[in-house]
Amino acid sequence: MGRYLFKLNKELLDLNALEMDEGLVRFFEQLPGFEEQMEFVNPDGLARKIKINLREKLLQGRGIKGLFAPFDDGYLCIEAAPGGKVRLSPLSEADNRWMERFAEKPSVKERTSAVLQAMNAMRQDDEIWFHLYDVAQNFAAPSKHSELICLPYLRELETYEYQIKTVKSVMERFKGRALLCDEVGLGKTVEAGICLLEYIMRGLARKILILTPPSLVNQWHEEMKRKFNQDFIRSDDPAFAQMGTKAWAHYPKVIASLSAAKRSYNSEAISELYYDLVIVDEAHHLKNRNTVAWQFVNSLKKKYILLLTATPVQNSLEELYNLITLLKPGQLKTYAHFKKNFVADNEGIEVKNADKLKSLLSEVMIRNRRSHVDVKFTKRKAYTRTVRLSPAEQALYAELSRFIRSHYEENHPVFSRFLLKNLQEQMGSAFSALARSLEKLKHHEGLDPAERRRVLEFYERAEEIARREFADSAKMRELTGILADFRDKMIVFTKYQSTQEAIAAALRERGFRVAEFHGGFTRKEKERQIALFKEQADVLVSTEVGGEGRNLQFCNGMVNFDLPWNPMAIEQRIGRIHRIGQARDVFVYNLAALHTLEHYMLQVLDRKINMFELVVGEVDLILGDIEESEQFSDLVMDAWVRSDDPADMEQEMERIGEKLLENKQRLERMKQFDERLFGESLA
Amino acid sequence: MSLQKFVTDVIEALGGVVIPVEYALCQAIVPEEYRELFQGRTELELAFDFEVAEENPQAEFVTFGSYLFEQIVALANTKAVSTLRFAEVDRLSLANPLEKIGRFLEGEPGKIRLLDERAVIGVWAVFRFKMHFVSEEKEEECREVWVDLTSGEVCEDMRRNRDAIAYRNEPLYTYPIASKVSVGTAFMEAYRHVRAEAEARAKERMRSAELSREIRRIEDYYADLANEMRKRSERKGLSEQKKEEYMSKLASIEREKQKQLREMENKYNVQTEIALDHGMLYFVPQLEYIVEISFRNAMKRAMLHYNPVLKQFSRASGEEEPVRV
Repeated sequence: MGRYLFKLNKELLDLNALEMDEGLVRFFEQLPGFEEQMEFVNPDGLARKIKINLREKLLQGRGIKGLFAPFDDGYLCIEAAPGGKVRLSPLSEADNRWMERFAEKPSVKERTSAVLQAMNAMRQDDEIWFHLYDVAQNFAAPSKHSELICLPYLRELETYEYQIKTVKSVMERFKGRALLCDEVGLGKTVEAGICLLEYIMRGLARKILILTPPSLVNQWHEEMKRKFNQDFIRSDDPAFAQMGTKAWAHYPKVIASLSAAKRSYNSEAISELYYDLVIVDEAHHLKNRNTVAWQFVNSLKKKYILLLTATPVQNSLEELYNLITLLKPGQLKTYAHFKKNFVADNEGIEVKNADKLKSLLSEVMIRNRRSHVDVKFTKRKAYTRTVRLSPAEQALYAELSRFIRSHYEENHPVFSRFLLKNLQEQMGSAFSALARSLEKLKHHEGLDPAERRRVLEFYERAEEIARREFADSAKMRELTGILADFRDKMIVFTKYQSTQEAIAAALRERGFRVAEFHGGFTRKEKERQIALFKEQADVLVSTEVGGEGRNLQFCNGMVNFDLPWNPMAIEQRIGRIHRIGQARDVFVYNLAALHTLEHYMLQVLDRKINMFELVVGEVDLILGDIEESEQFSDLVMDAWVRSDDPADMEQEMERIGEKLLENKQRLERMKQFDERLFGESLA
Repeated sequence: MSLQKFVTDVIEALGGVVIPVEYALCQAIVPEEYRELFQGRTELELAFDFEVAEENPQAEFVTFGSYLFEQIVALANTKAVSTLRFAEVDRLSLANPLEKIGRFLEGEPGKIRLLDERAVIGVWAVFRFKMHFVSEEKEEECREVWVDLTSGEVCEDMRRNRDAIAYRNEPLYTYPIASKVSVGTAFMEAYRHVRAEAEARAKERMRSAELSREIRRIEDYYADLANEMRKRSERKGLSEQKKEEYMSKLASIEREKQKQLREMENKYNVQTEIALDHGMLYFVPQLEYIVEISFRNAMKRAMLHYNPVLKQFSRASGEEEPVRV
């Protein structure tokens, strides 16, 4: 008749009884030769006579507790045994023969043994754990091998087919070692970030190092958080620095500048470590294999490495050779061989056997081009509106500038360069921003009485102007005019929160529906304001902090109420609306007052290199070496300080402009060279 | 499933409490015994979005790759050890069984007679394995193997139909159990099956031709580099110091070559590791038929099972009884 399953419920055993479930009742009902008292035998051979009361559904008898003692609460089997007995047993007897043929690690053997024991005992763990096990697997493994599991977990990021294709190629075809050379603005960082997150989610990358130029460390840090929810530590973070070189081993995910990482004390510590993934941004800095940087990256122990650059070749084909050799030594054989087979001229610029070279490159390099991807790119149009400061404003601007110039080189304990540069920059934004700083400054303990009087005088004049500034300034009138003429939503950018708030209030008074945005808002408030801008408001008045990831592409007009002194910051402002996904041409209006530093800067950036209409990402390339030793804002400030009159300033700015123009022309040459070398996409 | 929901479910399954505070932020109270898992705390706030984490610096930021998340995943992988699932079938009956058995036994010469029919419970031992393919990167694949405890054989059809099986956690039917094979024996069969499959997969992953090509690339490249260096060192009129410099460069080329070769071999040589994560027993009602097959002067009995999930018969091995006429 076979074995029947029943559930053992030990509650009544102390009373020498056991409640029968449906399985037991059914067994006895079906049992041929059933008697009201029968002998039960357990696996240890213990036998006890037990009464079977089918009406009450009870088993009763002395010794019943001992009979069931070998079993835990749970399921058991019962079957007829010879001699009119019944036998109790688990579903399956313990059978350890599997161990003889089991060739796995001891920890695996231990787990296997535990699982089989539990199965033999018919243990029933909570179903939720089996469900959660399945979910955990889905986090780590794609349903199809070629699918990316990280895509649903990207933040504030729209991906494009060419980017997904690139990531898949990097992972499948190139096995995580690739040179990503997309043209500017196509999102190499995004592609590298998706690779990174995918490797993390698949459990393939834990120890990660990102190397960038110093100016991009912060940008990478922010993007990793904002787009990929990944919290890296920067090597210049105080917590990192405090730990010394041990920090490299301690922190699993680090962003560092290449220049800091390659310093001998750091590089020694880093070279000892094994990295799952290394990303090098602006990898053209590794174009020379005789440099410490190249040797350093080559010495890293790494599983995957991604080199990112939009300009794999800047001056000669040898640079390309060096990058490829870093990724895959021997791919292009020795340099002598490479030169003989692929370089046609003495300058190392002209290529021969281009098809063969392209074919070798295609095994390690991906280059998406704007003309070949599934994205529509729109243009930028820029307009500069110059206004005249009122006589009082102009006088204060000139006098305070003179004051700043006279103290800038002084190493004054209060009037530090940083403070003076800030005052100059605030004055270019709004006098109300200036007044706030001067108000604090006038209380500074380090000022002598004469200095304090001077500061107080500047403060009072600034405060006087500030009182009616937003009701009646030339900039505000110009701004109102632009907003009225544009007849569509616009963003007004300013550097300072005080200016931002004042503009917002002034525009409201003029009848505009205004949304606001600044870094001090909570995430919820930011979202509320963006929704307000999208659905109702005419204008969003924003500082440049904290809104990088928000989707603002529904708007195609912006006004720079003031101008950051760093062209990359200007580029980032424009990038808030002019990015992949913007369907319309973008209009940029710049406001500047005549005879101000910003006005001179605009002359250079707008007229000389036409910066506001460049393609996304090109500003960075044009700034290139200019920013290597000194920040652009310092260059401009130094020029301002050195200039005694407008003619001097024009000359100074002309020099900076010439250098930018030279870089722009070099970029053009590079683009042509690129076109000849790579032609069609290497995607 | 979102990361937040997963983490919440795990904490609640541990007996903890999770209270949502706002978007991507929650308060969690975890049982004392899991304090270590949560870095020594039993009460904490968890943020699942970096922006929320920055606004709430007291909260632990949980994301892919974060320490806490990895710990929670590891826990979820080990908490499930064994369970029982009792399948529910719509209808356990079969019209015209003899005719259907005849079709199933097509090719079996002789006349078939139905001797007995009853409902029984078939048992399947289900083993959840992870196959690890270890090279420079470690890849994991989950593999579920179903073994029929009546026949002792691996049953791929049941695995493929697993999602069609509605089940409960308590028995629904009180039929006798049809299983004959122990869980240990079933495991041996499942392990043999999954190891063979893993080894075949590992071979596919090996890509021997590619490895040979990569090794050739590295060897050729470093041989060429060494030749160039040797030629330079053989130039006439070189100082001893220069010669030594070249010799040292030659040695470092060799070291670099060995490093590259090692990296390549690690990358392509695939080792397999198999781990059993957990097991389940599926109890599925089925119909058991005893038939008599008579052909010329011989007669034998066979036991067949009709599986309502697969809607097909199977023949119990070792059950055939020759009957002398």
